[in-house]
Order: sequence, then C-alpha cells, then structure tokens
Amino acid sequence: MIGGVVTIIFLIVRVIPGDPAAVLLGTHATAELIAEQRAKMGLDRPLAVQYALFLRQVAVGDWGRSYHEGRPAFAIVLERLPATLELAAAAIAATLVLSVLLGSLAARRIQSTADYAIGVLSLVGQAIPNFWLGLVLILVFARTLRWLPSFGRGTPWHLVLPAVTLSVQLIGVMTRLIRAGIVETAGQDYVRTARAKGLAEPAVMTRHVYRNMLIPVVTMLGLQLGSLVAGVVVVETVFAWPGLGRLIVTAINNRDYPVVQASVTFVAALFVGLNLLVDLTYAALDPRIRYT
Amino acid sequence: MMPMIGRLPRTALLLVVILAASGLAQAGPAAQPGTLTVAYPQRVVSLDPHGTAAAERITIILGRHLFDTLVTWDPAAKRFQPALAERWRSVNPTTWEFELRRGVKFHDGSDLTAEAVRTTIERAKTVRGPLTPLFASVTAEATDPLRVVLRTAAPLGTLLSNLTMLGIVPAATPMTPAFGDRPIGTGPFRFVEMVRDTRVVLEANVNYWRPGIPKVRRLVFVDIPELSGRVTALETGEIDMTFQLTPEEIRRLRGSTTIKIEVGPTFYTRFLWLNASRKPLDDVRVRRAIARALNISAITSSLVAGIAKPATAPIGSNVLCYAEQPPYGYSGAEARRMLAEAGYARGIDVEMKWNDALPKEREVADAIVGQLALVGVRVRSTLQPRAIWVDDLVRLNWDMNLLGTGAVTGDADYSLGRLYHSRARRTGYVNPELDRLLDEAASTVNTAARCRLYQRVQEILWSEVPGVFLFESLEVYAYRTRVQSFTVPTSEIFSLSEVSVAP
Amino acid sequence: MRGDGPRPAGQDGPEAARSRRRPLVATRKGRRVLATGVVLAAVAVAGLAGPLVVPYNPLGVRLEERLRPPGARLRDGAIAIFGTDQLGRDLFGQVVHGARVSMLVAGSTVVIAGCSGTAVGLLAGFTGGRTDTVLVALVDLQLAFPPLLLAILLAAMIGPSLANVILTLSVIRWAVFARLARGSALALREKEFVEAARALGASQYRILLAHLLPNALTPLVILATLQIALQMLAEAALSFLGLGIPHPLPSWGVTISQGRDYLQNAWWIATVPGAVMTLVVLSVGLFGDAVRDYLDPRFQP
Repeated sequence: MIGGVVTIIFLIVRVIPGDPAAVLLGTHATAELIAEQRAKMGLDRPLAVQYALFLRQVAVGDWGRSYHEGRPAFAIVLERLPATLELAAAAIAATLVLSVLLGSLAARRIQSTADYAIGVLSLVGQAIPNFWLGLVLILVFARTLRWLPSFGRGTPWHLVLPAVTLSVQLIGVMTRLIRAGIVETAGQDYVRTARAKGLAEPAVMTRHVYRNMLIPVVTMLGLQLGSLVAGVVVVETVFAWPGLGRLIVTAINNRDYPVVQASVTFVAALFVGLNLLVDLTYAALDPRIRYT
Repeated sequence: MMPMIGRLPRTALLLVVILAASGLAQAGPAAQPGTLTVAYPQRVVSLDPHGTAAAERITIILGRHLFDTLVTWDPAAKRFQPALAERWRSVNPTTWEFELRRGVKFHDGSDLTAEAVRTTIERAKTVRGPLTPLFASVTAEATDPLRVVLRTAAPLGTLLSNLTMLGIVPAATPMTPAFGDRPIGTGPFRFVEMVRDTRVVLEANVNYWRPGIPKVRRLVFVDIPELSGRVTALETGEIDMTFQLTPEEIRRLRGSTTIKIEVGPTFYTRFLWLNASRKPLDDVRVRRAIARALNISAITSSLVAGIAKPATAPIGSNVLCYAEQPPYGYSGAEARRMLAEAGYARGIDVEMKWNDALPKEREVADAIVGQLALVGVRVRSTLQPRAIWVDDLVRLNWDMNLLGTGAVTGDADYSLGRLYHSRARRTGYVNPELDRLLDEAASTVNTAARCRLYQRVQEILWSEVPGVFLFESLEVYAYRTRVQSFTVPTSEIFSLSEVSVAP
Repeated sequence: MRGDGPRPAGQDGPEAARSRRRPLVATRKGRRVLATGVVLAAVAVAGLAGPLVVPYNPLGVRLEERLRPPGARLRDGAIAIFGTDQLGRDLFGQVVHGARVSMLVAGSTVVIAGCSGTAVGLLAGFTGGRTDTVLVALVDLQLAFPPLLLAILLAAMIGPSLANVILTLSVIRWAVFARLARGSALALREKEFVEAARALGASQYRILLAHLLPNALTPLVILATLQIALQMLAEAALSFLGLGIPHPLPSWGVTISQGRDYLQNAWWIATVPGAVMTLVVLSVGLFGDAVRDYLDPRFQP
C-alpha cells in the first residue's frame, strides 16, 4: 500500500505544472539559467529514469534534498512533526474535556434549555468553516481584547487559539455523540441496577456510563482523523504555526518535489497507522472483536 | 443530584489548568533590552549573497547586515563612497584597482584580503544566480594582500553600481549554496541561527570596523506571513518593527501613540507588460490605447494609497539616470478611438497573467480588468501559482503580464538593459535602435554620457509601450517608539545598524 | 479503512424498506425532513434565482464606493445591505452569487462521487473475485490519503478552475461511497430475491440495476446528504488556500480569503460570507440528519 502511495505521490508531484527551477530563480531568471538549474536538479532526465532513481533512494531511506534548503527532505519533515503533534494533541485533549463536559450537561436534563442550547452550539460548531473561525478568533481575542498571541508557536498561550479553532468541529461531533450515548446507557438495566444498589452517582457515571462510551468515542475519533488532518493544514496556515501542514502547502507552492514527496508520504503513512491503531484499540476495548 | 465529572476528564481538566498556569508565568511582552525584533512578510529562501536568491529583497536586507561591499552608493551626495575598499581608481576603461581597508576581520576571525575579493567574484560567477550576469565579464587578480585589480572584457559602466550589490565573503568560502545556511561576512551583525519559516537571528559583531556600530545586541527577523498577524504583533509589542503594510492599516496605525509610521521611496516599479510579439498587441496603437484606458491615479489614490505613486518613467525616480516622462493621459474616449483606428472598433480579447506576490496585486488586477472593460478590452484575468507564472513569464507565454521589478543596484542599467534588450527576450518587443542604445550605454564609463543614452531609452519605452508603467512603489515602515534613530532609506533596502532600542 | 456514515443495507428485505415509507407528514421524523427541506429549498432557490434578481458584476469596480459598511447608502442611492468590498463591489451580490457557486460545487461533486463510487462498489461486491480484489485495493489506496491533502495535491496539479475543483472534490469522495455500496452488495447478493432473479435467467447488469441498486440506495442517499455539507466546507478551504475556485468568481471561500486583510478596517468582507456559509452548512447538516432519521429508524440520535 505504501508503495502505491509513494508512486502516486511521485506521479502527481511530477505532473503538477510549474517548474521548481523557475521558482528558485524568481523573476530574475532567464531561460538559460532555468535550463541549467533543471539539469543540476536532475529534472532534465526522462520521467522513468527519475522514478527509478527516486525508488532506489527511497528504498534506503533517502528522500532527497530540499531544492530550497539543500537539507535532507526527511529531516525537514521530522523537524516539523513536534509542532503538528503538539497542536493535534492539544486539540484532541480540548475536544475530549469539553465534549464530555457539554455532553454530560446536556444529557443531565434532556430537552431542557441547556440541552437545546448545547445541541444548537454543537451543530453550529460542525458547520463553521475553520479558517473563518480562526480569523474571527484572532480579531476578537488577539486584536481587540489582546488576551492571546495571534501567531506562531512558543508559550502554551500560543497554542490556545489554533487548538480551539482546530477542535471546534470535533467538539461539535463528539458532544452530540456523548450526549446520545449517556442518554442511551443511562436507561439500561445494569445502570438502573447500579443506582438501585446505592452506588453513588459519580461512580455510576465512571464505572458504567463513561466506560461504555469508550468504544463509540474511539470509533468517532478514528472517523474524524481525515478532517483533523485537513484542519491542521488550514489552521497552521491561518496561525503561522510552523508544522507539517504549512510545510506541505509552501512546498507545493514552491514545487519543492523532495519535500512534497517526503511530507505527503509521511502524513499518509501516519494516517494509515493511526487508523490501524484505532482499529486495534477498538479490538482491545471490545472483547468480541478479534483483529486478525 | 448532579452527575459529577468522571475521573478521566477531571485529570484532563487539571492538566489544562496546570498548562495554563505555566503559560501565564511565561507570557508577557516579548520586548527584551538590546533586542530588536522585525517581522518580514517574505520567506527567506537562502542567505547566500551570490546564490539564486541574491536578488530577493529579504536576502538583500539581511545581507546588508551580514556582509559589506567594496563600495556603497551615497544617494544624497550622488556618488560612491568607500566601504571595504578605502580607495579605487580606473587604470584604463577596462581595468580598476581597489585598495582594501586594513585590519578588517570576518566573523570567523580570518582577515579581509585581496584573495577574499577574488573568491567572491569567482563565486558570483560560479554559483549561478541573478548576480552572475553582472560579473560574467569580470576577472579579479590579487596583486598584493590588500590590493585587487578587476578587469572587464569590455568597458563596463556599471561596475561600481554592481559592486554595491556584492557581499564580500572569506577566501575559503566553498562554491556551494550551503554557505547560505551559515553565512560569514564582515558586516555589523554575525549569523546566529536560521529556523526556516520561523526566524533568523543575528547578533552584534563587536569587532565591526565602523566604530560605535551596531547599536543593538541582537537582531531577530521573525516570519509572519499574514498581514493581520504582523500588525497585531506590532500593536501588542511582540515585535518592534515591520514593513509592507496596506493603506488601510497605515491609516489606522497613524492614530497610534506607540507606533510610528514612515514612508520611503524604493527602486521598485510595477507595470503591465504587453506582449508585442502577439496579435493584437503587436500594433503600437493598441498598446497605446491600453495605456490611455488606465486611470492610474484613481488606483494610486485608493487601492494603493500611500504605498505607490503613479510612475513617471520605466524606472523609479530615485534610480541613477532616471528621466521623467509625461503622463499617458487617461481618456476612455481616446482609447476607444485608437482601438477603432487600429481596426478593433468592437474591442479585443486578451489574457492577463499575474501572481499575487506584490502588495494589493489582487485589487490592482481587478481594477485594471474593470477599467479596460470600459473601453472594450475584454481581459481574462489569470492568477497563477508562482511556479507556473515565472515559467510562463520567461517563456513569453502571455498576452499581458502584471508584475514589477526592482532596479536592485539602483542603476538604470539593471532594469533597462536586463529586461528590454531584445537579447533578453522578456517582453516580445524588438527594436534595433533600442538595442544599440542599450549596448552603447553599457560600455560607456562616463556617468553623464551614460545617462544621456538611458534618457533616450526611456523615451522610446514610454512611447512604444512594451508595457504600461503603472506605479513607483513606496515602502512603509511601522515601528514602536522604543526603536530610535531609524532613518528612512532611499530604497526598499533598509539597515538597522545605526538603530538603537530603548530598554 | 472505513467509510463514515450509515451502515450497509441488506439486513432486512425490500418489503421492510417499502412498508416504512408512509407519507412524510404522517410522522414526526417526516415532518422534520420537510421542515429542514423547506429551509434548504429556500436557500437553494435564493442561490439559483437570486443571481437573476441581484445584479453582481465581478468587473464592476467602483473605487469611490470601496469599504462601505453594511447598510451604507451609496452615491447612486442604493443601499448596500452587507456593505461593499475592497473594490467597491456589492457584498450582498457577491454572497448571493457565491451561494450558486458553492451549491453547484457541492451538489455536482456529491452526484459524481456518489454515482461513480456506487458503480464501483456494487460491481466489486457483486462480482467478487479478482475484480473485487483490484477495486478494493484501489479504494484502500484512495482512503490512505487524508481527503483534503489529496485535494490540495490534485488542485495544484490540474490548476485552479471551476471544473477542476469539481473534479478534485469528486475524486476525494468516491471511495467512501464505493466502500458502502460494496458492503451492501456483499450482503444483498446472497438474498433470496437475488438468487431468484438469477435462477430466472436475469443478466448480471439487470440484477445489478434492478435488484441490487434499489435495495442498496437508502444508506447511499443518507451518506450523500451528509457529504454535501462536507463538500461545501472543503471547497471553501481549498479556495482559502488559493487552490480553489479561481478569482474573480465570487465563491464564498474566495471572498472570505480576500477579506482577511481587511479584518480590522472592514470586518464585514470576511465575516458576513462566513456567517452566511455557517448558516447554510448548518441547514444542510440538519436536513441530512433529518433524512437519516427518517430513512434509518434504527439510528438513534
């Protein structure tokens, strides 16, 4: 599968119109200088030769060097990874905390005003375009109120706006899921039994209700991985967050082939790996499922 | 009774609180004594002063702080001033002798020698980049440790102008672009680190040959691509200075008591090239009609107010050998008449390619399309990704192209000779007389004689319209009041060597 | 990998599916479908007919009227309800015309991705064997890419144009439909009525079209309505990254993206289309939920 991914990426990247040599040289380029630069990059060779060379290098873990930075492309990708992981982890943590809170609150009194309000909010959260939300948050919290920094990475404060922007959609999805789950399990016989035998409410919730929610929550997180990746790309662009998403966008714009190949393959592999992890977790949580 | 929050989320909540508290301790104004933080809108591709990025503005600006050149141009006195070369003379029209300043050291501790100058010239020719053509015909010879002779294949009137662009590097510098990751020069600041897409950090060179310079300990250039992010960071004090603002931001910041706004000239001109090798733009009447159909001052008073003024020549008014031309004379009726005269009474269809790298280019492109539509020039506006746009541009694969260029060396030759000689194949316009004038000017050493030739070149370009010259860019510098004694430069290349910061 | 949305059909026979379809107004769920559908239809009509009523010329630059706030009276006496943009163009006109672009993209991509994905999925599930193996490998390969990432790559490859955006967004979604359709086909092909049709000598294509497709349709329709909202957001995100609908077509994503430089001075340029978009996506989402509840009673919200 990864072989297929690698090939597809190689082909897409080469078919993208636009010349990496031209970007590198800018408006001061001349046709001769561009031709020279192409030769230097090995781009004047036939596609099949380029592909063979590329595969041979990839086989030994060499993704080539960035046209712009001259450094190994894979090292650049790894360098950007922590920033993206930090952002994603913060967003998922925020999602879990807030959606459990909101979901429990809504499930406490079904069809109350609070339930209704939370329901509408979570739907709105799912409908808001995240890049727009990011801009509005910058306008309100960084510019008008001056509470939070507007860009970049550094202190935990820098993390707040991007993480919130990234998590809003997820929170919308998860809150609805958790509310529905609690409502459903709370009516089950075993929960009623637990209550009847005098178990304190927190213990009922933790031992019986939340535990049974784990499987659907993990499943839903797995389902949302794709939109999480999409969100990371957009949010990193809005907040100048120096992560993988921004790396990919700039590398595509610059036609920095080695970096595009390394980063997109890496993200695709990560994506496949995480999906597998979700499946395995699912199997671990639910004894009926055997993953073979 | 209220269902309490479960154990798992409670731990997570605690974690969030702790994180937030630790953040509180670290947050606060970023301003540090002795450190000047500047945000730039462009991406730093490389710091190699001779490489492919050598003509990129941000690379030149950073180069000003890292490197010195043999000579500098003094726009006030209108003459070249000594820098690393203390004195120089022209032995004959093709031979120049430079005497180097004694006791200058590179950041790595090595001495400035004639050999370093020779390496630098060789490097500019070997590491291919925009400076390569400027030094293609130059050879250097170190006649003694502090004396270097430059020979040119033919008389080269622009040699001194070109030298103001050439950052001198140590004699042992390799001929590879990797040097750009760890540049070493003699400049007022030494390189500390570069984190791609994030920041470039420089620190004061305490052994700098000009006494009392630099005045700040640390210079940090941070990369904030979004305009709103840059301005917000300036307002909150996260950064001290930025440039390239929009008219709207300028108007808003002018009311601020903590931020100063200053406007300066640039070497930059923006234009709409018309491909004279394609129908119907091969007809000079059509090209002139387009020039007259554009209401340039309506654009400079609204969309680009304060960041551009109408162009008065193919090159900027502060560029050496600039010659003022009369306005095109905006008149929709006149433009229609000229189109009809050329046989296009029913209008023409053309495509305009552009790239949104320049400030407000989107709005300018839309305005141009709207204005031309009024006289029957139906424009298909194609915004291209940079990678495709540059490629199409140099292949002449366009009808109209909206772009701009800086006369990097501050000399008319840099823009006029490079772009409008038919040998350059940049605009599709071919005129043997123009070629002859440009060739003659390039090999003329006397400045006054050179300028007479360039004056004629500018007249031809203005009336033959291989492009409509739209604006002369202005640069806006916005800085917090803690930044002191910043002087507005005469071009878009500024220096912070003499700037100090209040604690 | 997995496809999001409803479960494959086939656990119950065609009779069960048919008996469920009572008149819409007769059930609470049906009324919800109607209510949200009416809202959506109103938006759709506004998007389709609006451009005929509200004039908007992307070339209609009026520099003297730029950056007017919402409700401002222009020099010619007209009132700009949503204000004007950086070139003096009416923002209301832009939003109305943008609705058309946005709906065109979302609608057509879901139809294209839905049809092609369903065809591939049914074929794979029904035929089995080597065809199935190859098609499943293709689907898995497709699903190995995070959707927007693939869209970014593809959009950069084929360049920005309306048709290309439709193509790109169709490519990133077909696999989800294929997966679901295959699941349904696998479950259905062993059913008695399919066996019966086969025994009666019906051709493969007849079985596919007349028997499998109608019975696999319900979950696919549910999935399609859910995908529309996603596609609207994806289009806007692509445009925001500069890879979507080309300038100067007034797609919402383009308008928001261009308005971001004016956030401080003319907040309405980026904010108003964003709010309108949120509302539309919200109503599409509600409609999708209502349809799902109505068609799939086992699903408890």
